[in-house]
Amino acid sequence: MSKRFDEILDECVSRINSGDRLEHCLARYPAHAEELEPLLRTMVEIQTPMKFVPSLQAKSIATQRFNNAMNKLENGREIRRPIFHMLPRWSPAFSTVIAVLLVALIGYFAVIPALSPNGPGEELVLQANFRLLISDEVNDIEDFEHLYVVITSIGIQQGNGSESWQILDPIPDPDDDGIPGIDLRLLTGENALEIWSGNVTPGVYSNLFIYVSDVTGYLVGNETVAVKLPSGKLHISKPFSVNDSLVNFVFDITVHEAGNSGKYILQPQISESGPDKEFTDVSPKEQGKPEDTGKPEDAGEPEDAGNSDPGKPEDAGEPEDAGNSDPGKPEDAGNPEDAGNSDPGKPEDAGNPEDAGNSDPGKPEDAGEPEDALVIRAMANLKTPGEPLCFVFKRLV
Amino acid sequence: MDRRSRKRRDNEAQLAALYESYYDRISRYAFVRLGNQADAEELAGEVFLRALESLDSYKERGVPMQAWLFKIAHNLIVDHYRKVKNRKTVSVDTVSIKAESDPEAQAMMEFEVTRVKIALGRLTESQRKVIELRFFGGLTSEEAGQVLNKRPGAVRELQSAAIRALRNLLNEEQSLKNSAR
Repeated sequence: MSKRFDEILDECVSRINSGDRLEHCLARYPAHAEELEPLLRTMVEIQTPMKFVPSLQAKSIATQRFNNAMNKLENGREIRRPIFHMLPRWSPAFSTVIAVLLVALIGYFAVIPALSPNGPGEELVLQANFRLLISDEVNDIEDFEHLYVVITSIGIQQGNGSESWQILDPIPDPDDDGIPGIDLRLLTGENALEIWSGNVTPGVYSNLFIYVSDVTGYLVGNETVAVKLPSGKLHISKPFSVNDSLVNFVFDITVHEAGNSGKYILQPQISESGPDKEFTDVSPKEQGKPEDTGKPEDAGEPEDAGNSDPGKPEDAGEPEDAGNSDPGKPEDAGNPEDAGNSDPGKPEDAGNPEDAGNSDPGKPEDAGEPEDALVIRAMANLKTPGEPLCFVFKRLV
Repeated sequence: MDRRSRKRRDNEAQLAALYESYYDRISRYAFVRLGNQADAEELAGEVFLRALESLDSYKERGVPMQAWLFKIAHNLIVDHYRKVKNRKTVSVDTVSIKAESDPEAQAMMEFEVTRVKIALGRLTESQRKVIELRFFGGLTSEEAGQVLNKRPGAVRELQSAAIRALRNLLNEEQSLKNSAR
């Protein structure tokens, strides 16, 4: 076998990878066609079953997560940029006008809160319109001492499934116990734990995903078990609407033993999930407050919610996930025997979760007080009791 | 903007530009190793997030960004198996299944996938890695060489030997099947 032939074969492989036809390659090298043909047919035979197109849904979620990470970085950079660093480049007159306008604006916004019913010391907090809570319907959870579920992200989709996804980052340690994951054992019955709270775009939503990276169970008797979810996500398809008032959406997860196999299946319990479910909030931040029984006030349930998906029984036994998991797919993939072989060319642990997971590139590093807050504080120091900040400003000008 | 920030921005722009085409390629590459489409798709998304986080450690000299992405994918797959190996796995049941419209076609496809994976599993490790990067990752021999720290000529030789071995393995299997009939 000559080296030249390796190069020809390599070129043909590249051409076929780029969409060229096998026959064109053979025609290009008639002298080698006889030897090339069976090899290239083998290549096509090997490639064909593996040539899947990633699902649009998975790709759009991944794209959104990537875009969010890019935006986070960009926003972090903007926060770090000093406000006044551009002033020296401007003409003195223009700089003065801008500075006066800026101080006037700061003065104005400092006075408005002083006159507001909240008083000057109280912060104005944007009211959240959506909360997602996790609960656990009692099925086979009694077999477990602890069942930890690590939630990495949440996806909600507006409209009838055709709209884009919103990706929400869950609270890092929602139960505040310092252990990765939520212990479902503590969320049986009506107990529910908040994993996200904030503002989402008002409208009707049709799908809700929870992405789970890890499920670890400790059976009664201390046997440790890991329950893998191949699809890595739990999905509920149940329409709900969000408007200006707060919607508490309870996502119920339940664990079943498959027969007496000792295998446990984690699945969403759609009949116990939704915005209209009663719950007892056990979130750490709620512990100091009077008990929130989460009585639903018909919030968030769209008019036709009861008729949603009429052909689909809302039963725990039914698989809820619209993911792309593959039933019966062989698990011997990828030759785990070489798992220990680390690559010598490994780029500074880029793929190592232990390292890469801890960095937060979007986080501003200068946590100092912003300039406008410093100006307000300085002006507040100058004012006499009862004198509004705008008068201090007038005096100064 | 200083030179380092400008470099970082250029790298971010390059990474974003690679996203569209390389997400699919990395998904396919991961699928061959993981055997599960959902896991492969998730891993492909994770590769880009990790790349973004580690962009400061990326140095253009030596390894082009697309090859670097495959190195990250490779490391994530290794981490995945290491994690799985260290645990006692009780269940691999799925939460739910997206049924294919034609179950017969799906069964056929699964059979083909298994067949290919068995054949790939019988190659040498270097041969298999070359085939995965060239056939499923769509990398050139030069790029595959940069991922594997091999010269392009060595990659081409490994590729040629691997294809021949695969052909023999598939032929062998076919003749066994025929004689069983």
